[in-house]
Amino acid sequence: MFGVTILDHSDNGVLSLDLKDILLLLGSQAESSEWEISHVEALDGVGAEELHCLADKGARVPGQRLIRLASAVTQIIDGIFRGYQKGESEPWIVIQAVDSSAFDVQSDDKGVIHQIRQHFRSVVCLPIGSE
Amino acid sequence: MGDMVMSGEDPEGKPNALNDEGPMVDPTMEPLEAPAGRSGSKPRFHSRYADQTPVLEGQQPPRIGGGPDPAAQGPHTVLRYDLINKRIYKGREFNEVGNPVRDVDFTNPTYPSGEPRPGHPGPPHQHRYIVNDPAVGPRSGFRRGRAEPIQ
Repeated sequence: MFGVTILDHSDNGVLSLDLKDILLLLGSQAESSEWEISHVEALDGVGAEELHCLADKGARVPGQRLIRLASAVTQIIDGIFRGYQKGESEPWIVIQAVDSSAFDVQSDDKGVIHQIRQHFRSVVCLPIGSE
Repeated sequence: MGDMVMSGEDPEGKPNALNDEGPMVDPTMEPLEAPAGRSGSKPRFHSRYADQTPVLEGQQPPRIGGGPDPAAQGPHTVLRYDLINKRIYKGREFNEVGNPVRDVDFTNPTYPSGEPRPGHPGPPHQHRYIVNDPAVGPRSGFRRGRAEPIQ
């Protein structure tokens, strides 16, 4: 896998992106994937409680549902979101919200990593060994 | 700040005991050592306390749910207690009307390898809660800011 950390912040010190922004950038690849959600802490919004329940169950959810939930929270502070192509046992992408300070994206798809580097302003490589 | 309320159970088992852009294929991009799947055998680190005690991924204490403690009067702190490492993991402070003011984190996040992530003072460090829309005020909700030194 290849990996980057996204650190874009607003002037007020708040991370200027959330999970929904990454999922929308992935577009149909996010929609067609199944997502396993774990260790989530989300703030407010109607989606937060549902995300917490799904994370606690370790359930896989369709991409469209995750996009809807990610759009229905104020902020995702922590959490790991593993995207699987249908029928696969290993994820093709892993998105991690880190302490309301960053989002890590790891993927086998170099094109996705390149897309992220182009779209966001502050993107650094994850150190080797950050599997 | 005022009262302290524990999230979850304390060690004694008492609930709430206390009130660059590049080409399409970037030649500089090196693959990480192993897939970021869930099947790896190595432990994944989540964070570390100041004394370097690690919190492994999946061993974070239960999240603080539901906002301020309904039994609290005035400003108070809800604590997130780490039952594995027997210490306070996080405190969330609320003001007199129950709006979040800041989180005080007693761990710093690490990479899964256990290396510290840059940009986090402490631990401990704080994250202030910033109102979403200053024109609307607290009704617009809050977002948690980045890690800062404790003030």
